[in-house]
Amino acid sequence: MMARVAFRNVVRHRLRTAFTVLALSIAVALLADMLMLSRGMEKTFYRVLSSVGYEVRVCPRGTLPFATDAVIEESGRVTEALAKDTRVERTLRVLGTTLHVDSLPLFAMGVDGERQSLYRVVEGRDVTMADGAAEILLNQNAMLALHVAIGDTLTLQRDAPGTTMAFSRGLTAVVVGTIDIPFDLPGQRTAILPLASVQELRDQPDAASFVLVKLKGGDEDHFVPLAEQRDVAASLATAFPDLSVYAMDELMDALQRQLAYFKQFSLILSTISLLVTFLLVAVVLTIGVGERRGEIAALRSMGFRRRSIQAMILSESALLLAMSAVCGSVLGWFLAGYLDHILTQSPSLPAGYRFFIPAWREVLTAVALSGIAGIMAALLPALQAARIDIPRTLHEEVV
Amino acid sequence: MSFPSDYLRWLLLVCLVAGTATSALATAHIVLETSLAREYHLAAGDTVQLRLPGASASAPFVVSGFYTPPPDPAGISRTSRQAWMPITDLERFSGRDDRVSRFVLSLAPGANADSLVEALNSTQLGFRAYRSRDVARESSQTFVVISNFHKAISFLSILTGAAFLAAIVLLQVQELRRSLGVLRVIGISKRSIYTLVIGETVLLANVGAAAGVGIAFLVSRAVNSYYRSYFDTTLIFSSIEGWHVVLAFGIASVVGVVLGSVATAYLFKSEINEVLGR
Repeated sequence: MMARVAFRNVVRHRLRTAFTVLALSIAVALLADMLMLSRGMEKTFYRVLSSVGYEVRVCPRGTLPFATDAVIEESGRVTEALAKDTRVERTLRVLGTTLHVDSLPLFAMGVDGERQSLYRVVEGRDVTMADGAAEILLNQNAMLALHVAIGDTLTLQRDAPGTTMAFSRGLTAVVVGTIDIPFDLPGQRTAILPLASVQELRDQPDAASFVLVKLKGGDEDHFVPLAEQRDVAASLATAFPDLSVYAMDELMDALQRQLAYFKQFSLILSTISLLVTFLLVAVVLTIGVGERRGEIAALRSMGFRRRSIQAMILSESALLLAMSAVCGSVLGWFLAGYLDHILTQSPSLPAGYRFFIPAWREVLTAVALSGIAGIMAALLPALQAARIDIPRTLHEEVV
Repeated sequence: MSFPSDYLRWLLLVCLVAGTATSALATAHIVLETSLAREYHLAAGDTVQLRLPGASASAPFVVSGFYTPPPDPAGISRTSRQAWMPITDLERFSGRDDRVSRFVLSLAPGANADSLVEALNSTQLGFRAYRSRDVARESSQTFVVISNFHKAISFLSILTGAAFLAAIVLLQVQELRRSLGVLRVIGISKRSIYTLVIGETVLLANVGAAAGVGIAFLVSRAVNSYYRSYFDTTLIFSSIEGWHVVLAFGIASVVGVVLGSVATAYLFKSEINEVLGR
């Protein structure tokens, strides 16, 4: 009964309801988007790390993979120690550097290890680690930029050509395949070489930028439990105090610290969205109750209980919030795509990086949180409505 | 302190080994970033041991002073520290002679930078020349993107505020219906009522804008205080300029006029008897 009265009240003032729903919808949409922003980065980081397929990373102390030029000098001792650990299935040493083909820079990664999931060979075959002629894999960007095909030979220089060319180290390598790397930057030219070749070019035998560790018990799609990852990481950190060792969650935390701004921004804006929802519902209902004092007093005089009046006000709030939830969810879903498009224009973001990932979980959380804020905001006007002095109000309104 | 031009700006990475304030006879001098003095309790005259990334051997350097680099938004998340030394010392230390990361050219008054850049790039000597403004534009691209993101959020905030105000104005007009109906009955012109409602709406919107600007100043101070401490920098993260305030009041006034007009038109659509509740 009271729900029906509330519905009529809401429908009676269409324009006011439309503006209230519009404002609430934007607040719900912003809240949903900020939750998506917060979770989207987390999901993207996890997807990137998952695509690489290793649970533990060993890096030079205080650094993240490829964050600096620092290297692990004697990486062999790390892989030797890991080989003795029964929990470890396999390791992959990676040494990153910039090489040049004529004047064109290439981001090159030297890798060792027979089985790896760092990159996927799309065409041709993987580089072999055997001594002899150096082999190289290129991504599609590098293939196009260098105008080469599988079987062609490339001359790689450590330094850009010019006055220093005569003194710089060089290497001739045969292109043996095309690769796809999940965390490539858009337009980045990437090459994969045997680790020994890159070490020789950098004049750093046994160096590695980082070591990837795959643990036993997981597979390409599923990782071993986090507790086990942390155990291995902790024991490695104890064995190598001069290195930083990260389990998946620790690396995600470290990466997310670099984007702390967006986390804090989403927290602040989420709070503001909830505050706007609270204020809007509270103001609209309080003024609405003031406007309908006579009507409410009449209902009370007809025998409607205080609880019924409270239920009517709360139902009005619930109706406004329900309409806003529907509109806000749709708006938030599309708005997430637009905001993601703006932020992914940033340079130096890996291909496929997403800040906002539309997801029902975040939308439903936003709706639930806004609902709680809205109902809480409706409590005060509902109490006010229930406490109306009937004779006095009727006298004032009629006379 | 002044910054000698022949000192090469050089990233230390993680190779500083501090706390070795010895009296070793080291000839090479080094200027360190001020934050290092705090972190490692260093003072001018101390000796520090440095080693290059990937090297096992270290070399002693005498700290001749400290330098605070100008705040740079692009280096905000940089965790490494900086040190400066004469380029000859760096060459000796690194074992790499006659090698630099970049040249910075200061042009003679009236020189054409564009033609110089073009001439340098046509030499094919393995380097690329850029104008300062191009470097600045490239390195600030991320901030342009973030600024666009902020603009999108600001637009949504304005839309929310306008809708909020519209709902309140309609409620207010509804509440004043009878009073305004009486005004019409006693002969007050529609124009006067229109002016009254719009004036009230504009006033309400501007009071809201004033409160918003006040909150913005407080939030801006809090943001600067928090992020300066978080990133250990003197950068300005949030600034409210005059045009922001003008824009806030301008938008509030426009929104007030538009909503006041809509609300009055809505009111005038009703018959006087209906307005008076008869």
